[in-house]
Amino acid sequence: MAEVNSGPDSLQMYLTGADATDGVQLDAALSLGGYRSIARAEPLLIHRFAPLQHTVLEYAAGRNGAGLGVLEAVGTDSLRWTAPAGTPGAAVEIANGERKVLVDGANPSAYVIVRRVSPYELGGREVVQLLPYMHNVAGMGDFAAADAQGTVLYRAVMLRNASDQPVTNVKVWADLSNIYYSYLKYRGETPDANGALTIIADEKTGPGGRFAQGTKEATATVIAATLNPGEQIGLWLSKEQWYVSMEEYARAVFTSRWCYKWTVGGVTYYGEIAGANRIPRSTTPRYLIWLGAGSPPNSEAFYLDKATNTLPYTYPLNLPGPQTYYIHVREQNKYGLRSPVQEIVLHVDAQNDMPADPPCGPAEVTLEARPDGKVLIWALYNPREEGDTPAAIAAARADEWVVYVKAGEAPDPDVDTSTATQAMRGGEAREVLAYTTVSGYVEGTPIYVLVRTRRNDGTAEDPVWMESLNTDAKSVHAQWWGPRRPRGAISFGQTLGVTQSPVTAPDAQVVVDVDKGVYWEVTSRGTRLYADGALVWNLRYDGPSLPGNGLYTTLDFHEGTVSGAAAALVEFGTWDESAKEIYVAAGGVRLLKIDLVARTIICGGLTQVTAPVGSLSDAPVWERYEETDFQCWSASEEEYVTGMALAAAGLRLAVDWKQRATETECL
Amino acid sequence: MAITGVTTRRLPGGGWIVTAVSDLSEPTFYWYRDGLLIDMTRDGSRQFDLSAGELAQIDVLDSLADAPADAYPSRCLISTAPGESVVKSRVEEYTDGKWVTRHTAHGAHVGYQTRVLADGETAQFRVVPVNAAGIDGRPRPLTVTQVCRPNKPALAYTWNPATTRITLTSG
Repeated sequence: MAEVNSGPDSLQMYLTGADATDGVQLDAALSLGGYRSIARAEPLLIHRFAPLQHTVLEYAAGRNGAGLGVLEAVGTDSLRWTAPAGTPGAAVEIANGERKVLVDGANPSAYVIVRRVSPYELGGREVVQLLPYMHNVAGMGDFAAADAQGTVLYRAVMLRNASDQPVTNVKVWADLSNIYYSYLKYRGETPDANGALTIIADEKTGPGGRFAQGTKEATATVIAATLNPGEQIGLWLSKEQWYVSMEEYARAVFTSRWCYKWTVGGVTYYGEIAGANRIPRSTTPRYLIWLGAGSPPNSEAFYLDKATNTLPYTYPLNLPGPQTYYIHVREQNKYGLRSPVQEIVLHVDAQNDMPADPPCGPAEVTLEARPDGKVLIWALYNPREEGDTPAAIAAARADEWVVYVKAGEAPDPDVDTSTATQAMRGGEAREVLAYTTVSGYVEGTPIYVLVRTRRNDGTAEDPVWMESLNTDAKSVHAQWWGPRRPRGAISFGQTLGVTQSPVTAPDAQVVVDVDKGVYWEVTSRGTRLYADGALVWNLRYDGPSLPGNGLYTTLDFHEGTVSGAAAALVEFGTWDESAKEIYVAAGGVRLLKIDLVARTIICGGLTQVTAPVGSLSDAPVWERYEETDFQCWSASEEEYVTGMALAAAGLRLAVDWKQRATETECL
Repeated sequence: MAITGVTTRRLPGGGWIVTAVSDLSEPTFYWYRDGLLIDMTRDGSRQFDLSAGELAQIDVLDSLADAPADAYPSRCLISTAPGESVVKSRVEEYTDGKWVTRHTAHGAHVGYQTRVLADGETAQFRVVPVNAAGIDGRPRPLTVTQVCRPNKPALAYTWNPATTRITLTSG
């Protein structure tokens, strides 16, 4: 089965049109009957990206189908083939100079013919793309624009038994899948005593006789009961210009496919020849026009509002104001292929005048988070999008950038005030905006940026600004800290590593209120909050899952609602013998209360996470977007981490709550 | 098993980054431009450069068994089967009455994408094989008449406020 001229390669399809059997006639357009050519009909074009060395891929059978196949070496002297959507076939040994048939593992009719062209070892794997043909013997030539529906094209091929065994039961059908009208037909013709078929005068003149129109295997037609070795049978193919619907009135790709099957050596094989041509229409309108009032029309729809072949063209409907009209224009070629849409937007005012269009928005906007919660805004504006001539560009181009920045939600240019404006340079070259926000934003804040352009339609003294209409904002989260501290090492050359001392936290004290004795004490064994001379808590995180981790306190926890606007992260309430209250806020709202007299900590709840999530800040208490982080030193990570965080839902702990009886036990 | 998401990002200067996500554990991404396989990558991101006004249909698949969507490419691909004793090949285009070298392929295999061809444009190419001694062989002529989607129209217009009608004119 791996030998050429056997198995799936036993029945071979050839062009006709030669002046004698096996004459050289390579042109599919001239395959119009007569003698068999030496050229096989090519069902698929073979494209090799990185060919397997020492191999030539000579032929790919139609039953492979279009797509990506794989040719690969198995050992140093064998090859195997996987058809598109197939499975690897059996490895076939191939010697230098030999031609072999390689068959797919799942489909015995899907095969390629490979020739080995050197004695060097085979190796590797290549992906082979098989493409259907335009204008091959099955596709035929293009129909002419003047051809009426029902015009038929013809081609003739010859099926030859190339094997040394009889081929029987040769059946043919046209593959029309779901099409309900048989525009593809076929007819078998036994060659005359000299081996020639009828010759037709041109491709639109049929050979006569009745053509069959079976469209599936079950209705296939037997064109030869038996072909002995070397015998052949002619096969006429006909293709009628026909369209299913108005959408397919003209066709850029009009595909046709004929299938055939035969039996040799008790095994039935399948073959097919497919191709495509085109149907042009001289009446196909060139410009297609859709109109939308108030919103863009659906210019993907087949049906349009108006069409014209010539310009200038006046749209035949009145377009009164005040209204915004959207006119979509697509160009169409004679095969019905349509261009992308040119959109013309008309802003017609109440006086039916049309003020100049606003300038285009930026072509590109990118945001970069900068240190200290700032944002660097890059934007690109191309004045050449405003017109095709220097005068048109100068008249329509923007003069300034307009930047809107808003935290938490996208800015609305109809409501919000611009954050900054910046003059452009002018001219036709691209304009670049590089603007860094003046103020930083709290860590983690989603910052939304809308960049627009604007043109002064007034004078320098009395400007009238026309702003671009783009509304898509981009966003970035404010950042304050870079990546975590890296692990690192140093060595003497490449001989000895130098042991390093660990990075330690400097002991520090951060005073909140001197009079009330409220301060943070940052140590390598936790961040401690003291108030009124007593320890409130000690937040300690030594490293992931270490036993010393905990929020140590002698106070009781109570779940409850704490509310009220806050001007600072830590504030005080009543401070006398009845109560000594400390409030901690997040997102501008008081969310946690410590009462030193009642010895309670109150907030919305306690939740636990398995690892710190938050900031790398070295401040003991740190404001993030809608969250307040409590920082402590992680000795094992040599880094400040968020041991717990306060948000609307309460305290989120990355450590265990550890209530102790005495301060000493908390330290 | 399929591509579960594709995003595109425009680069300054006409380039695009296309990023695909597959639900396969170790996917190979097959990149098609206008229906033609141009690359296979392990990484799900690839850059595509487009010249001014060029249209390109990009398909990315994670299976050899799938096929890209129908495309009407604006470029053609020239490929030749390896010939014997060929050490390099020149791809030439007939322009302004003479043959101009567009590409030189070292080795026997040629896989060359032409420039963008406009709808209806006919172009002539040829592939000239060269042997180790530097001697040209006989060229393989290749002619194509392009059929693809037309370019986006660039019509101008005038507005008549008296009639409230618009007239489209050639740009």
